[in-house]
Amino acid sequence: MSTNRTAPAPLLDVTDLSVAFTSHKDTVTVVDRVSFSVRAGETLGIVGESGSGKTVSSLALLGLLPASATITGSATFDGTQLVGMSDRKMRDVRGNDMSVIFQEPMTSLDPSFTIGNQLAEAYRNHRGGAKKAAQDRATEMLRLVGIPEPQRRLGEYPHSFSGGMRQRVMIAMALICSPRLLIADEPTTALDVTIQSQILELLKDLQTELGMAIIFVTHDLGVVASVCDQVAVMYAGQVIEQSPVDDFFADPLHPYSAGLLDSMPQSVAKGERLRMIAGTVPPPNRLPVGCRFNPRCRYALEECTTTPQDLEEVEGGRMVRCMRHADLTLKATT
Amino acid sequence: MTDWDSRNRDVDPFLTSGDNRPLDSTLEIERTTEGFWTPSALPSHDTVPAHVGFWKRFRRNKVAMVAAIYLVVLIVVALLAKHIGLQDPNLQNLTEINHKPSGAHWLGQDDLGRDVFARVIYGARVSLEASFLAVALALIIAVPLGLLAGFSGGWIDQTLMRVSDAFQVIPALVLALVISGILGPSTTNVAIALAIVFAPGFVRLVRGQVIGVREETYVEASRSIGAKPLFIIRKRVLHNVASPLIVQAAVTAGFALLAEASLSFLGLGVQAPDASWGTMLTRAFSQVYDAGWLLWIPGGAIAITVLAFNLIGDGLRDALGTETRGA
Repeated sequence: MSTNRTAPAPLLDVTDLSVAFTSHKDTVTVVDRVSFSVRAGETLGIVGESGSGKTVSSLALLGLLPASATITGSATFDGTQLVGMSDRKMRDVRGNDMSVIFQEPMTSLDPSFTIGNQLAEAYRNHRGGAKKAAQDRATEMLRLVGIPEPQRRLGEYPHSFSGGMRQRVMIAMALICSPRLLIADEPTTALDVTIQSQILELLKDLQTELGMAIIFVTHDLGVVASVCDQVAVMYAGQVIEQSPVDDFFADPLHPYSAGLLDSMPQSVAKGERLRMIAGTVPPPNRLPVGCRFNPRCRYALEECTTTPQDLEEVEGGRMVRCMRHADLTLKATT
Repeated sequence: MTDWDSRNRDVDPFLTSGDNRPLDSTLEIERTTEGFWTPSALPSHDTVPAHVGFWKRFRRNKVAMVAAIYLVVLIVVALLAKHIGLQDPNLQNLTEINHKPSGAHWLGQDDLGRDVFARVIYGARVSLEASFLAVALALIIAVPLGLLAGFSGGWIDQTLMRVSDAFQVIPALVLALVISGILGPSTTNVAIALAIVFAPGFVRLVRGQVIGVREETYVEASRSIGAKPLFIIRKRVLHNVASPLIVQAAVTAGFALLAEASLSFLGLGVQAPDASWGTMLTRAFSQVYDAGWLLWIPGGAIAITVLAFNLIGDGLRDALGTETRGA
């Protein structure tokens, strides 16, 4: 971003990334010209409702989408273009430069092999070397993610680990080759609340220790507030705002962001009804004309229903996709 | 295993810090099992790998164990047939035709005065060889094709499935008869014919399993750390489809034995004077009025051995079943 003159170039720079799925009948664009960037060591939260395209955009970066997906635009990782990269080259990036952890820790480990086997294989996949070295590295990683008696646990099968422990193993596996970027796709959604905070804590600690950047895909603004530096809000396949996290919570620029913040349970007094944004996210094949949020926006003008809005850069290194952002003062109610 | 699993579900004994539930409060644990509070992290997928404790579970199944021991003994005896002092199975003694079992000839002598016991053992060799060879060949053909069909989907899958349909609409034995008729009579050709007959079933089985496993998160997770496709197929997929395949192979071996006997009975297998259980049955059949008891020997051997294969298949299924175990 040009406004951050002092900041280093972003590690991951996504510009106008679009993802379309082609079925035998038609083509549906589920991610539309998404742009965001992450700098080394920084955490970006991507938030949005289900179906807003947050998972699809992050999987697109790693080329993990099925063949029916068409990806266009640009995503550069440390200067290397990821869009259209060959499978072979992409395999070198995955798990080595960029890793991903999924939201289902219970099913993400192969039940037929020991933890140690799978960790070592993730390591040797990119680094090669002797089995012994990989085993040592696996032990080290298990210790790092806070699994007691790592040496012994290496020989056990996934079924003897609980959900929280499995997510720790998945994190160890994702980080075993010291990637510079970790994509965490709702890593805590399937876990109960206390384990959730332990995992978040762990990720924060590991980030400080290893200096990697994290993209945190989530629908939980509480998680965003506690771990992220930047936040990108997605709505109906578009980024509608990217802001530093403090600015976002204090002074959201987009009516949708404000609506999300207003929907948090903390924003109403005890006993009061929770507030919400009326309506639902339009499906990608029936998007409204003009601004995609206009049917649900209480500030919508005539013009909002006719003219599509672009993502604009505003001061403070923020981006917003709303034509009224200058004249609206949306205050977070918290 | 069972007890441990159910405890593990409720309390994670390896939590390092900030455990939400007091470990000593059994009341709290009680409540969770009654559904007052259900943590979303309940293991839905604590599948115990099939090979862990396999032998212990298989051994517990007495019937399957007996069947397995019988088969092992039969195989060993058949392999060592030349070295265990059996009489020459092809040595004729026309002065002692259709003699009933005696001390010198444990199972009697056939219509050419040959020792039936020696012929049964040498015949076991032929029959087992044909059936194992048939299953092995079928697996060699079918596993790669099943993996290919299941993994690639689309027209490749469609084509392979239609071809296997085409094979499967013809009754197995008729198809085997035609193929071995074309190839000419020999044990190897019978095995090849049977392999062609069995392969489509295996292709289907592997394909179905692969389609299930393909969508598992651990396959995607493996991709996400940059594993190569062949590595994923070999390690992530093949290992997780192996269990039903092993069971199917055991049961099919029994059927192959039976089919080999049928084809030999019709004269398509091993050629005279060598024995197989099927050819022995043909010889005995021709003597049915003079020495009807001769039928019982190869017939019984076939029946018992096929039964053994099926019982072993059942035992394997119970011991390898990953779905219902521990419940």
